[in-house]
Amino acid sequence: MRIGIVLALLATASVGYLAVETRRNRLVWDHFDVVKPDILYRSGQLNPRQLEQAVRRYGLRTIVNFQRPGPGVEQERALARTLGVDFLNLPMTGDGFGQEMQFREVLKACDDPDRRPVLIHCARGTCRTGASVALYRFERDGWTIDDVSAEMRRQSYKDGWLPGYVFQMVKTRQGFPLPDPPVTFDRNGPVAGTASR
Amino acid sequence: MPADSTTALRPILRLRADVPAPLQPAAWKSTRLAVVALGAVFVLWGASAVELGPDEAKLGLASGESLGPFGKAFGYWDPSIWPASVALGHAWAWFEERGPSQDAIRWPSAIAGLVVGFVLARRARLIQGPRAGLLVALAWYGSLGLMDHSSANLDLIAGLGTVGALDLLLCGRAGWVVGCWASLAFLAAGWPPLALIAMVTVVLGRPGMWSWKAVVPVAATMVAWSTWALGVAPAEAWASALALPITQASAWNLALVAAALGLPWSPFVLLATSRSIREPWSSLGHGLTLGWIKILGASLIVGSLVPGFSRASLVPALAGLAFVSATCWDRLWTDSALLPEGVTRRASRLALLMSGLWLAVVLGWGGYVGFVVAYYRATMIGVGVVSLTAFLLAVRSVRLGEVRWALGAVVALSVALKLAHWGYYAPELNYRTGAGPWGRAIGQWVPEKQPIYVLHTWPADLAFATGRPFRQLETPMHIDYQPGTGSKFVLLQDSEFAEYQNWSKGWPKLIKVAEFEDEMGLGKRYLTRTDAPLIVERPFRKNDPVE
Repeated sequence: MRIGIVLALLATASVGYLAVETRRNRLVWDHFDVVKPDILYRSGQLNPRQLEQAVRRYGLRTIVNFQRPGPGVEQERALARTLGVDFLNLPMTGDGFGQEMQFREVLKACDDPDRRPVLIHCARGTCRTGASVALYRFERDGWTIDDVSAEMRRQSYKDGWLPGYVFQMVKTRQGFPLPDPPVTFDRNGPVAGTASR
Repeated sequence: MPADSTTALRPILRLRADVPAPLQPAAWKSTRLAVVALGAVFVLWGASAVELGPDEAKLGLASGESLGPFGKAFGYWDPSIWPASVALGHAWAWFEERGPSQDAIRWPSAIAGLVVGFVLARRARLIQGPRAGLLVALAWYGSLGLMDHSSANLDLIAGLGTVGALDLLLCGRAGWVVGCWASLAFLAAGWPPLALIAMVTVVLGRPGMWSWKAVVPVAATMVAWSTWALGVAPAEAWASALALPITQASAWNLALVAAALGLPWSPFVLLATSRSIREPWSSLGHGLTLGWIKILGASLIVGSLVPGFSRASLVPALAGLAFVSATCWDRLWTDSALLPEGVTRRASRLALLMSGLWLAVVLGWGGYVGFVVAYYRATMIGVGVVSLTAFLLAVRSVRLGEVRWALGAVVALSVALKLAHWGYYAPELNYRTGAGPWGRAIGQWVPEKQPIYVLHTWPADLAFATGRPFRQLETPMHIDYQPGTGSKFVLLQDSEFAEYQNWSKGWPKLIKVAEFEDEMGLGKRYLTRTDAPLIVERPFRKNDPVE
């Protein structure tokens, strides 16, 4: 019984500690993940120390922030200047429904050997970041919409809207245009003027 | 007032503790049901969760080709693929709308694992009682190897044939059925399982283990397979299939691999070293368990030393581990009060050690993952709760000196491992290393059933994930000579795509269909097709016009 109480107290204390640290964004890099090594990384909002560590560890050359302009963005811009990395602010609403041009800016950065590796992030690293990664997966990796949706779910995006929203921006999507569209039309009905008298 | 008449059931007295109690029909039925339920929970649940690795993907590619004495991968005979697994894949794919999917490889393997457990549990139940049968099923199904049965090089279909034959041989019943089991093993993995069975027969050296009836089906199968192979394939392919095992390296780590795959039950095999555990077993039960100990030892020695035997030896070794471990637990459960305190304490402490180590892993890594990746949070909470339960049961067992709680701890540990495998390991492995999304990206551009031609070997898992037949050609010149009319799809790498502009004049012109970056961003893949009308071929239907 006593061992059980001690264990329960220890477990509660551990969980409480982890919860507080996570809440304050100190325990781990929020929603950090590697999309493609040396090309694209994703995360939620990192604190300045974490961002500095990320730049040094992964040799980042560009940081993309999807949040709206404000003190946080300015602080990050200054930090990027100090670290000598490019900073790109592409403000969009928190639900991730940004404009195609904004998402394409990320692809441009990824395609340029002088600007990558790229870290993209928003506040939580789920919607805006997820939508941007989705376009990368569609256009560069050619993934199917099912696989992109599965990846977004794994990265904590619970709604189903964004994969379809981003898919309609894709220039190389399968189906339109067909590489060799087969159109056959067999007119089998009576031709005007030749109907039976 | 007369007293009411009462009836009382007289308890069954067991005067001979070493002789199993007679079984009641109800007990038989419930044990069978329990064994199947355990198999369903531990093996069938999530049986197809992990994507195919490179070796299994070759089997998947072969399941999409015509059936032959060897499997076909990339359009060629592959002597490492034997027909039994391919035939089962074919059978499974027949029920699929678009097959073969990875289910066609995973499910037959899982069902074979289920049947192996049933064979082992049935024998234990018949000879040592229902509880022993149930414990054998728990130790077999609840082991890591059976939960995963994918990335551990476990050939459960060949293993089913081997274990089925060994089970009957242990009872001295060599006959037609043994021959059929051994034939299945041969058709699934070649001659190494047969050599292993023969070797174990010599090691056991019991009466009734040799019979012409057992040999004739195997010999007939070998002759029939050889005739088939020599009839449809070059003799080199037949010789390669037979010689392939001896070209492989020895597996010195086989014992460690088997012990790891047998977790969390395998360490309890060590209890069999105690004389007090072994002594009171009935002579028949003792013989059976001793037989499995010998099989375990022989499999590990042969599999470690002889090149090419490791794969054939792994399943019998795991079966031996599960059987012996379960028999030890049966003895601990039945006669814990009669056993020396040292033995029961050892079992309880072992359970405490394992559950403690696992709990530390869960609290550390599992806690981290649960907090960082919301997708796995619910899984990790479940794993944490079950792991903590296992640990507390083990603590209770040690404190009270009651070994039955320790068995509860080991069962809880199995459940926690299963949860972690299903909810974390499988999806994470697929996400990090699976070729599925990369293959499907290519396959979506190619009409169903149309082959993709390549000019060098591609990773088999990527090829399988495209969902289309893959054909490797020696030169681009051969593209035009492939069967079928219309445009043909060709998958090229960076360098090949750059070179194709300078192909000889007689070689086919290609049109780019789509391009894909590879997994590491180091290069590109180009899907192209020949400059011809795109014809989507479909099966002939009843009302189609006939020319």
